[in-house]
Amino acid sequence: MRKHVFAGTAALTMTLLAGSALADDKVYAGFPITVKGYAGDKTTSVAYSGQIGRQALHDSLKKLAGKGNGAANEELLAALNLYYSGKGEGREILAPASKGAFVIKQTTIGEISDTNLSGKTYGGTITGMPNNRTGEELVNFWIEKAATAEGGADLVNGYDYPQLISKFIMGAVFYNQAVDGYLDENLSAEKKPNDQPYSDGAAYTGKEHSWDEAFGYFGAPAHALNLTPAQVYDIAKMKEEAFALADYNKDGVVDLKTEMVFGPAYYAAGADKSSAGKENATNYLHSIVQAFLDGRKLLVAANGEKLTDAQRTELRGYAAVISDNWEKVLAEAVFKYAGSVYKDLTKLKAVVESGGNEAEVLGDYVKHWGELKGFSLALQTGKDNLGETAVRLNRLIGFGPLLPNASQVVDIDSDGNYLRDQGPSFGEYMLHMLKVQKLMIDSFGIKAQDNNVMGDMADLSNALGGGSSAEND
Amino acid sequence: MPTFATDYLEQFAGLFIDPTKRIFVGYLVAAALIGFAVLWWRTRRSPRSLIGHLFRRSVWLSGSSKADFRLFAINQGIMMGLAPRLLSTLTVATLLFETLHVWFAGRPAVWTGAPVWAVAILFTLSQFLADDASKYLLHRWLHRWPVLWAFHKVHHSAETLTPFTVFRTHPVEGLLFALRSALSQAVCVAVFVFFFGDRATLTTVLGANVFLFAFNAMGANLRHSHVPFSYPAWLERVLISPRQHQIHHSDAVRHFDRNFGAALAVWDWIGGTLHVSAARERIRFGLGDGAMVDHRLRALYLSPFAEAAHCLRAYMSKGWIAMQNLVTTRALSAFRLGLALTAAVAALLLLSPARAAAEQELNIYSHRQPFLIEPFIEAYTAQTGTKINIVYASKGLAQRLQAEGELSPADVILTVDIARLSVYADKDLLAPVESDILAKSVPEHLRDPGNRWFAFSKRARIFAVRKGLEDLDKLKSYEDLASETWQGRVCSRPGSHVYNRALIASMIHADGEEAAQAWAQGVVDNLARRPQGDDRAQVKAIFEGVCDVAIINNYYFGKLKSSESPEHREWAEAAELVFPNQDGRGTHVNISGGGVAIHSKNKDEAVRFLEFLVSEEAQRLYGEVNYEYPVNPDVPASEELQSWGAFKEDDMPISRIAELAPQAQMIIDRVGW
Repeated sequence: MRKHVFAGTAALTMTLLAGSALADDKVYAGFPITVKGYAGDKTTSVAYSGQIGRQALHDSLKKLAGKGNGAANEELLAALNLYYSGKGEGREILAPASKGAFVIKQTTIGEISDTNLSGKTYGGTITGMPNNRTGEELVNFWIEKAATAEGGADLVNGYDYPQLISKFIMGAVFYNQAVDGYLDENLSAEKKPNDQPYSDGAAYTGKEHSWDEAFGYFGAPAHALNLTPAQVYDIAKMKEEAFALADYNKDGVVDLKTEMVFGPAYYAAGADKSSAGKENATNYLHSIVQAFLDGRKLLVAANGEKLTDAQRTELRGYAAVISDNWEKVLAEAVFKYAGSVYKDLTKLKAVVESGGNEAEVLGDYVKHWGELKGFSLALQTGKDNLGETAVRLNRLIGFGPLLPNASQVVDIDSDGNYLRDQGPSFGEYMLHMLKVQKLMIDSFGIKAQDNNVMGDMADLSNALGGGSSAEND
Repeated sequence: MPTFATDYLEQFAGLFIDPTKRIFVGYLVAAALIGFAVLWWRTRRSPRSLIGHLFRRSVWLSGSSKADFRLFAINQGIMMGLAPRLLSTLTVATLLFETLHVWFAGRPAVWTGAPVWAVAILFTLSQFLADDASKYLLHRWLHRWPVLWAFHKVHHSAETLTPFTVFRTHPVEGLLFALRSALSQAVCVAVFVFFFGDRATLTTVLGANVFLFAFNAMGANLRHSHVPFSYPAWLERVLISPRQHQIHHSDAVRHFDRNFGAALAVWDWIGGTLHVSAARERIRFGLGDGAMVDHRLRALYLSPFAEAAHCLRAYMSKGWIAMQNLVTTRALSAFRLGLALTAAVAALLLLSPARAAAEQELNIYSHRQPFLIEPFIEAYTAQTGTKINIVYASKGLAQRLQAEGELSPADVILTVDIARLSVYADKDLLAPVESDILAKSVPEHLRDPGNRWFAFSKRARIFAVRKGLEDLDKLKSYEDLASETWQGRVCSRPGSHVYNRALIASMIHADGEEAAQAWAQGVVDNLARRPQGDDRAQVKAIFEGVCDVAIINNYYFGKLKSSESPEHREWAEAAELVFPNQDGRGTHVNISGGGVAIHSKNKDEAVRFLEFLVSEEAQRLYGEVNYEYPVNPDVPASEELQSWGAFKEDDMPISRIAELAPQAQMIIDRVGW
């Protein structure tokens, strides 16, 4: 009933405001029920609260992973496990939680959906870390480490667990579930047909719900197309001035289920925002949301009938737009943080050589490295095996960052202890970061290229102009 | 839809409106005005007659000038086609930028307090100088090397000069100039971005390098004209005047190979090719060989190739080395070249070790470098006929073995350092081996209690000290290294390296954790510099006078001593060796070793190979190939090793080193080694 009211209000508001129904067309909401013989009381077929529940679990888990005090902490470990693999009561939403005037509607996970993250974590082996762990095993390993790390960071071995856990889950749960499951296998003729409810008695068809769940994993607000990437970015940062932009139905609270921005959409917006107005401008956020919307409208038009081959082909076209752009968003993040790590290394080297205080630089460096590593592993959880690109990426980044005392984690023993050895020189490891950036451009054709270390050189080369006319002196 | 024609017209027109190009309309106008002024100053004729003189038909519509225009038009099309295939500035700059990271072991920030404008001026000037110097150099080569002169002659065959003569160039020369431009720009870009980052910018006027703009705006186009515009003699030693370049085009023998410079005359001055212009000297332009110049396109484009080929044939008949012979004559026949390449590839494939034969095979995963392993493989294959395949990697073999699981083709694992060896055992990647030969030949303290790994050679962690050190008697043990005597005199690689970690583990075993940490702290306090580099680098530091004592593995000394590089031998010459703790527990040793892969399909053969490695023949090889000590008590150390002095080894159970490694790592982190 609530949804009904919301959809109606939204439609009315937008009609009044824009003087036409056009704006409403741009919102991912209010799609009618097309399941034949539906007998329930729902009035719309859109539902992706399980995915939003996982977005909130992810944000909360990240926050909690930074709470360690440096000693063994069973209580914290239990709490982390509760947010990763637990279920049921007692799970307060730690993030995003109300901040000043930015009021969030829900306060517990249960108000969204009683779900967990572990059951949906990528089950393949993660070759970018030692010991052939599955995605779930790797997160569990990091959770144990996080529980004993001060502020979630182990500066001796070079790991920032909140960052590693968070960025990896953005791939191993959200990206993987969406692009490898809902937008791939579930689009086949046999799986989740459109002339059947998703499950008995559901208000949505198999295909409708698959599509909606993928949308939920992307983490964009339903009205994202009415917002600029910069506005979406500000909403994710919960800036007070962005509250009105987020509160689409003007009920005075931000509904996490439909109005909030989460991880993947935030990074898409970040790349678009950083490149806006430049020659290399990207449009990841709107391309992805538009494709979701177009695909969803196709399903509405199918009106609860089995999809024809032509319709499925068209739908797969939209899915491809989403998958390709999403992959690029992750590659852009890898690129950006490789640039950050490079810059940190420049500072760290200077500090080490001058005998200065390493701690100031080390925290940022380890944090950025965690983001880089997390995203690089996330990138490898898509539907395609990245093959050589993955091997090169993993070797260039390594199992751990190069540390100030020239060591680097090279393995993890069967008890989970890190084994270190002398690593490459600062210069070589910086070169690795350059190569990571180049690899992202060559393999994924990314354009925003935030923190491009080679950018100055390209600009300068262009300024000098080419020597391509045959001149003499 | 852009076509070639529209692209062409756009780029062609672009040359006149682009201030980075010589024939930018602004420069042409400036040249006309200066030309007018110069002529007026010399002749005081009426403006009308001067304009008529500047643009006279006998110059602008001569056969020579018409050929200039045609070459200009055609070359533009050719270069448009070639441009995307040329080596770009960015490609070369990127490569160099990356290499600089290795040369400087990172990226130092230079002159951080400098104002942005100063860096910009420095870059702009450097770029202008590099560009101008490289123009001089290439131009000089074009005149001095007959093969290149065959192409450059096209430019010098001009008998009348107009600003468009700058485009009277053979495309081969155009390519050389493009390459020169890319290289000189790349060096400047890479070096400046590397040291100054985004502070390196180009100071421009209308988008062109400010110096280049000045050069062009001051009548550079008059260099290809009949206006005798010269500078005062002193200035012509700094800047090339238009008249000096006209002298370069003179057909008089006394002017040949003079004034190669583009903007600056200093290069000619340095190179001894400067010719300052003389007043009222009459000059005729052309080749001066008495022959009629053929200004037809066919001759201009094709005859240089014939002449170049002729030069090459002349070289060859004078007996060039076989390699150049091959390159030049064979290059004339693409077919034959293709055939030769195919044959070479086929031969390589036939000889390739990847071609499996029917005989017994053994697959080895090795952390040891190929040149250290190969002598053993050759000896084993000669003895048994078994064919051996090696996968070599310095890192990641354990992960690879784990990932391959039961499907792994690996039979034998070879590695160095006990900690690395025990990783394989820890991850259950090694099979237990029952072998009387191994049990008898490898002392108990040098093998796994569970018989999963065995040592095959020993390496001692010793001191290299400056030759003739007066207080050498104060350096009898590892413990001594922490004493105040050695303050500021010790060099070492980083503590986390497995060799140092093993040494600290042996200290924990001998003296306890607390004492080991105090000792490690003492060593760190005595360091002459931040721990860096490998063991060789420490001996080099002794040679350079940075420190008096270094901790190294013994075989590095042997390698330096017998190196082919005289420099390395000098380093070794500066040092002598001390075997610590000879009066006590003995010198700490680490091992190279190996075991049988858990999923090996040829376990018997794998064990036979391990047994071979402890045989007398192989044990001797360890000493000969890499200055390592044999583990087999029945085999004596090599003569060279014996000449370094007898040594007593610490015979603690080597497996204990691996067990103590985590504690040792904590000490390293705490003391900041």
